[in-house]
Amino acid sequence: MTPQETDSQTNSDVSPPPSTSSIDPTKIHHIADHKHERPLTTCRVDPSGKFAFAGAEDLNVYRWDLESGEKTVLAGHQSWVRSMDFSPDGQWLYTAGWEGQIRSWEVAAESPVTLNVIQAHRGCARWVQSSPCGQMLTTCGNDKRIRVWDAASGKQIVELSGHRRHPYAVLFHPTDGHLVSEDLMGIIRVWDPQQLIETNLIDASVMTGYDNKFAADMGGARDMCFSSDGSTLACAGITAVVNSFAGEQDPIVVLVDWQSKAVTHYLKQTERKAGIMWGVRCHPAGFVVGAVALQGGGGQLLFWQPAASHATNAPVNESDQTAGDQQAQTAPELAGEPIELKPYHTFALPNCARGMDFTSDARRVVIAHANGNLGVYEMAEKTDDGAAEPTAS
Amino acid sequence: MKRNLGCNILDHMVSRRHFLMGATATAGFGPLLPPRLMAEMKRDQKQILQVYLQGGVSQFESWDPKPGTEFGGPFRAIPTSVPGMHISELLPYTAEKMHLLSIIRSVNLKTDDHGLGRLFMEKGRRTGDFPYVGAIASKYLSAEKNPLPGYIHISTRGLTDHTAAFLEAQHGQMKLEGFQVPANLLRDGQRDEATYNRVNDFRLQLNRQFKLDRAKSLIDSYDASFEQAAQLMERQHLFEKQNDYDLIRYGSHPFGRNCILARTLLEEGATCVKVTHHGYDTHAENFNFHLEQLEEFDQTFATLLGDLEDRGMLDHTLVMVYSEFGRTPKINHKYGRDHWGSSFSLALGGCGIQPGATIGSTNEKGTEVANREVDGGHLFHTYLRAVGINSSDNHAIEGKTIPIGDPAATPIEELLA
Repeated sequence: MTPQETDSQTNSDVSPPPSTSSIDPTKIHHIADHKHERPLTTCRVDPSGKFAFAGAEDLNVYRWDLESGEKTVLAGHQSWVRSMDFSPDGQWLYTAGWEGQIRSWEVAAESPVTLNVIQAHRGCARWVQSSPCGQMLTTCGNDKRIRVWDAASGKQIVELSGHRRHPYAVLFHPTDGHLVSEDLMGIIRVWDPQQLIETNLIDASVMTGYDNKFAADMGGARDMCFSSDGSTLACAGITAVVNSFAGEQDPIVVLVDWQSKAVTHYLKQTERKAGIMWGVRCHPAGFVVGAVALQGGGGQLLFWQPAASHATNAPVNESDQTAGDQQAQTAPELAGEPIELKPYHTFALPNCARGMDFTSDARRVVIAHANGNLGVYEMAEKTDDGAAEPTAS
Repeated sequence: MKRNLGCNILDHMVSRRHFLMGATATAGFGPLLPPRLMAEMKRDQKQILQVYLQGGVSQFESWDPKPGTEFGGPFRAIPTSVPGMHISELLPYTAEKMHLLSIIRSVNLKTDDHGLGRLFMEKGRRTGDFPYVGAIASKYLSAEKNPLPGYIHISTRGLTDHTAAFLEAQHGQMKLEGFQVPANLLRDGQRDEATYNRVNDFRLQLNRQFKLDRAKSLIDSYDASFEQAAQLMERQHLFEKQNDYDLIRYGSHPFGRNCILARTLLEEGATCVKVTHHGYDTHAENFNFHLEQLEEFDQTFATLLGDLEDRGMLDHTLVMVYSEFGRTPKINHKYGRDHWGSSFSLALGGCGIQPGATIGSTNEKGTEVANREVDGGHLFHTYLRAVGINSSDNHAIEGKTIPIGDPAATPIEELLA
C-alpha cells in the first residue's frame, strides 16, 4: 500500500478553511466542460484543487487538470468506479469499484498506475473513504460488511456486520472516531470501530421504497458527507417511490444532527420532479448543495439553508445576505418531526448529475454528468474577464 | 386461486363461494391417487418447469455477459461448471449447475413489446389465438387420471392471458397467487358431508338444465374448473407449512416459497408448473435491481434445479428460464436498460435437451445476433420436441386441423438430446 504521513504531519498539511466571502449560490454559472465520450459515474476534486477525477462507464478513471484541461487515464479497474477519496494530504487517491476492489494511485503522478489493490468485498465495493488521520480506509460492499483497512499495508483492521441489505456508503466522522453507514433500506448505523459495536441506529427509511408492482426495494444513500465541523450528517438519495423501475421517485437529502442522532431535515425540491439525488455537499458557509439526475434526462443543483429555515423557511436569494450570514441564524429544534425544506435556489443542469464535489476553495462545483461531461460551475457573480465563458477540453 | 376461462359470463352466474362449496361435496377429502398409479404416471409423464423472469431479464446481466465492452455494464463474467461457458457474476449458484442447462444466446423476436414478446415466447406465433406451451403440455402430456390441473401458474400477481385458446378450457392455466393456501380451498366446517352431497346434486341438476340451451364450451369451462378446483381441494397438504430445511435452502422470500411449491407440485405429478419472478423491467437502476432480483433468483433456482436432479426428475422434466425479451445494450441516463427483443438469451435444460451447450451468439457489443438466429417459433418447436410432442403435427379441433407449431419454423435440432 502507499506510504502514509503521520497524524501530525497530515494535520499540518491541511489547508485553512477557504474564505467564503463573495460566494453566492444564487449567482452560480457554468464555466467549463471537460468532455469524455462515455458517461461518467462519480467525481472528486483533489485537496489541492488542481485535479478533478471521475469514473466512467468504460471502467477507467480519468484525471483532468482543471486549469489546462489535460486528461490522463487511470486504467486498472475491472468494473465501474463507484466512489473515490483522497488521503488528507492529497497525495493518494483511493477508488472503489463494482468488482469489489479498492485501488490506490498517486494523485499527481505523470501517468498514475495502480500502486496497490485490496480485494475488499465479495461483490461491489460501493464506498471508500480515508480516515481523517489518513492512516485508515473504510469501505462497504455487497457482502453487507463494513471494513476498516490499514491504508499503508492494505491489511484489514476491523470488520463490522449488521446491515441486512446492501450498505451503500460509509464515512468516518471527522473528529469523534465513529463510523456511519447507510444501506438500501435507509437504515443508518453508527459504529464504534474500536469497540466493534454498533452504537446507534438511525431510521432514515424515508429514503427507501418498495415498488409493489415490481416487488423490489429501491433506496439507500447515493452520497453522504459531514459538515466540516462534524455536527451534521447529510445523506442523498430518493424518497416517495412511485415506479422505481421507470425512475419515478423524488430526490431527497436527509440531514441528521450528529449529537442527538436525530433526523432534522428533509431537503426537497421546490417543485416535485422525479429523479435521484446523486450528490450532496455541506458548504463551509453553511448551506447544503444537492445534485440531481432527473428522470427526464436533465439535472439540478439545489441549495438549501437548513439553519435559517426553521424560523422563516423563506427564500434568501433576494436579500443581501451571504450564505455565511444565514448560517448564524437559529438552529432548528431537534425534537419532533423533521423539517421539510425547499431550496432557496435551484440551478438547472444541462444533463443528469451522477456525482458532485467542491473545488478546494469551495467556490466551484464539479459535476460528473451522464453524458460524459465533467461540468464546472462557479458559485459567484460572473466576471467581465471572460471567466464565465464556457471552455472545453 | 384464479382460472382464466376465457369466459367471464359464468363468473357472474355462480358465486365462487357456492362453486367451491359444491366442489367439496364431490371431491370430499378422500385418499390421494393410489401409489401404484402415481408411480406409473411419474415414470411415463413428461413434465415442464417454466421459470418466467417477468419484465425482461437483461442478457448482459445473466446469460450473455460482455464485460469491458461499451455496453457491458459493471458486472463481470464468471466461469461455470461447463468448461468455456461463462455467465454473469450475478449467478454464482446457477453457474455451478450449468452442466444441467444450455444457453441460447441468439433470440431475435423483432419486438420490444411486453405483450407481443410474451405471447411469441409462449405460443410460438407472433399473432393469433394459439395455446400456450403449458396448455399444450396439459393436453398432450397429462395422464388421463392425473389428479392435478395440467397447467399451474404460481405468481404473486397476474396476467390474464387466454392460455388455452381453442383447446379445452381445463388446459388453461390454473393461477395460484403465491404459496398460500388458495382462498376457499378448505371445506366449510359448518356443513357435514351429507349436506355437501345435497348441494352438489343440486349443482349438477342446475348444470344439466344450463346445458340445454347454451354453447357446449361454456359448460365445459365450468365443469373443468370445478373438477380442477375439487382436485386441488383434495390436496391441501401441498400448501401446508413448508419445512425449515427447504426454507433455508430456497430462501423464505415469496420466490423461494413459490419454487418449493413448484417442486412439490411436480413431484405430485403436475404436468406444467410455471413460476413467475417479477421485477426485471429495469428502465432505471438496471444494475442495482438486477443485483437484488438475481440474487434472489440465483440461489433459489439453483437449489430447485439441484433438487430436480437429485430426485431423478430432470430425465422427464424440461426446465425453461425465459423472459419476453431482453434489455437494450445502451445504458440510459437512469442507469437503466430498456426493452430489447433483437438479441437476447434464455436457458433450457432437463428432459430432451443437450446439457452444457451454447447455441448461437451475439456480436462483440451484444447489439445483434451474430449467428444461429432463432425466434419464438423455433423455441416453441424445441420445447415441445424436447418433451416428446411432435410439434409438426396438428391439433384436431372439432373437425379442423391446426398446426401445433408454426409450420414456417423448425426446432433447434442441435439442442435436442
